[in-house]
Amino acid sequence: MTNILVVADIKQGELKGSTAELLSRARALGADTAVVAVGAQVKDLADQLAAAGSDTQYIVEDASLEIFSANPFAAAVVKAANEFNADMVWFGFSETGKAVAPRVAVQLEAACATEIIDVTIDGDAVQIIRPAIANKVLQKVKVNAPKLVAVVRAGAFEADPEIAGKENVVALDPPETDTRAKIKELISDASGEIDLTDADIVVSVGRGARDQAGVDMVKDLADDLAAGFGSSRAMVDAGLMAHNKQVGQTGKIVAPSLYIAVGISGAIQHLAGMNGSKVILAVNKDPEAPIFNVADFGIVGDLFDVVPLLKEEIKKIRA
Amino acid sequence: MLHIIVCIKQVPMVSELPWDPRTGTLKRETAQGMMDPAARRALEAALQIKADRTSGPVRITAVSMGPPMAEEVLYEARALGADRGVLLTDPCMAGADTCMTAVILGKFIKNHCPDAGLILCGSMSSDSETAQVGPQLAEDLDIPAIGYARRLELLDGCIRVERHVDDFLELMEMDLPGLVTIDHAGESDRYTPRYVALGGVEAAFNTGNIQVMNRRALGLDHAFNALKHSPTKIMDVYSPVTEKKGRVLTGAVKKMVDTLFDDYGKIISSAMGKDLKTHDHEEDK
Ligand SMILES: Cc1cc2nc3c(=O)[nH]c(=O)nc-3n(C[C@H](O)[C@H](O)[C@H](O)COP(=O)(O)OP(=O)(O)OC[C@H]3O[C@@H](n4cnc5c(N)ncnc54)[C@H](O)[C@@H]3O)c2cc1C
Repeated sequence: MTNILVVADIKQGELKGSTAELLSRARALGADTAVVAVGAQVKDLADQLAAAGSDTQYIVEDASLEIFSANPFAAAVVKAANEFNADMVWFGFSETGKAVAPRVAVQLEAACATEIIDVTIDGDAVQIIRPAIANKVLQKVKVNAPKLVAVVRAGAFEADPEIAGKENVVALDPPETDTRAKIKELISDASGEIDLTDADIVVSVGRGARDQAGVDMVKDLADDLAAGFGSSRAMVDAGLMAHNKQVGQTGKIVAPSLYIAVGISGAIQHLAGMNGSKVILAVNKDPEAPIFNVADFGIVGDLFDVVPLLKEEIKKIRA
Repeated sequence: MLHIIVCIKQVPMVSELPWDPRTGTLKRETAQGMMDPAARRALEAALQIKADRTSGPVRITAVSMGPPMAEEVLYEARALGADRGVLLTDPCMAGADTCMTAVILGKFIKNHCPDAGLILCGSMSSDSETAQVGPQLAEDLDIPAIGYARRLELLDGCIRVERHVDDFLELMEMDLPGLVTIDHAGESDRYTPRYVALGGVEAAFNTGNIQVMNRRALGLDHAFNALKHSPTKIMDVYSPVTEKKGRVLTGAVKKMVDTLFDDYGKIISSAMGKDLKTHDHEEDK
């Protein structure tokens, strides 16, 4: 029997969808599941964590955990992993998760793998699959250690709505605070905005939109769709979009139900961040644009003509 | 005097992917190599700290673990302004995964750079994209670490780091010695790497002082075998099938948008959380 501990993905007090996705996959593998929630106020999430598919909920709650810091967070996860006798610790994708996972791995003397898209367990043999080189290749990796710490790529697993765990809350003592690296100030880049990595629809804008007016027009479309609003790196470099909106190899990795690329050529580094999306729509005036190679539906046309019409149709749906 | 260690990986140019099907690792010998773009930014950060007179005297060691050809990136680092280039290479280090790489780099720093004050790494290499070596190295050295930094400022005995993670801009302070990984970012930001004239690299080649250290020089156990001891091993590498045969329309814009909503109206509306009755065309009315 494999024991899989999932690290709850909690942002601003809210449980993110990836937690249920990971727990569903863990149960489908026949594992015993537990979840660990770390933060200043996480106790109240216990029933949601059980509903997401965990049979034990480790709660590490302390005022000092209000602001994320890698060392105490890692210590809290290690504590839960030892308590549960975890064979595997899974993180959903986030930059903070990616920063903590390797530290947890060293402390548990576990193998570490980031950006995994699949895990197979065959007796004692554990294998994972992960993309590399901007999604150009997939690597099949054998785990040569008794334990594995993994960061799962966004959209790799699907939540099974049928699955539910049972509530069994175990409170753990908070870790010591780390005074060696401390946060002095925290400024939200995204207050009140739809979280790109958790949105059902993402609309992204590329260099085809040219300037601020073009960006605003595409942003309007995103707002009409209640979608997350992202961009290619070209728009970030041009100073038209903030870096936390960049989708791609060196930006966010998203896998929404629907991804709409507007005026984006589809460079390999951009595709690496979005080609796991379930349905991809693309608008580009160049029929040869590589984005059409991954699109389910492509419109070859001038985005300044197409976007207003799209908005009209969407207004009808909203009405 | 602040001793900065910059850990640099040589990566293959993305256009070529020579994998060894027998060992399941990248055949780095036959690949055209280059300095990992994130590591290049880490080096740039070190060079800027050195150039800033208020930092006091700074010494930069560029270190790489890799096959003999990885010395190229160290010559380049020297040409850019690193004071020392050290290549950690030995047949027994071949096949090291991120964990073993961190152990080898850790051994070098513990045994040969006891005065290291600041260790800089790229946040994530462009080939294997694990983002693991930096944090594992910090854990191995038992020093604090901050990942995904955008801007560094040296203070007395500590460093101030600005970084963007998960939609937050964080300003942090960390005691030294410590480790920072430098993020990828827009082209026009602070650590956009400087340009080396080719003559510069050639000149650095001519000075010929890259220090090469093998297992023994490093102080690793004689039984050390990275491939065997790595907790992960790549078994197979293959190309994912990513091309979709989607529908790509050209023609009148109105018509294309109508077809889109005929085909995908349901999906769009359900993603919006709305019911779509049927999509009606104006001209049908
Ligand atoms: C190490 C590295 C990492 C990178 N990481 C990322 C990353 O994470 N994310 C990312 O996005 N990029 C990344 N890039 C950059 C990437 O290579 C591309 O340069 C970038 O994605 C291009 O952005 P774009 O598609 O908006 O611009 P372009 O490539 O310039 O494409 C603009 C497109 O708009 C179309 N267009 C123009 N006008 C119109 C119009 N009126 N109507 C309709 N279409 C129009 C054009 O046909 C064209 O296809 C990275 C590059 C490197 C080297």
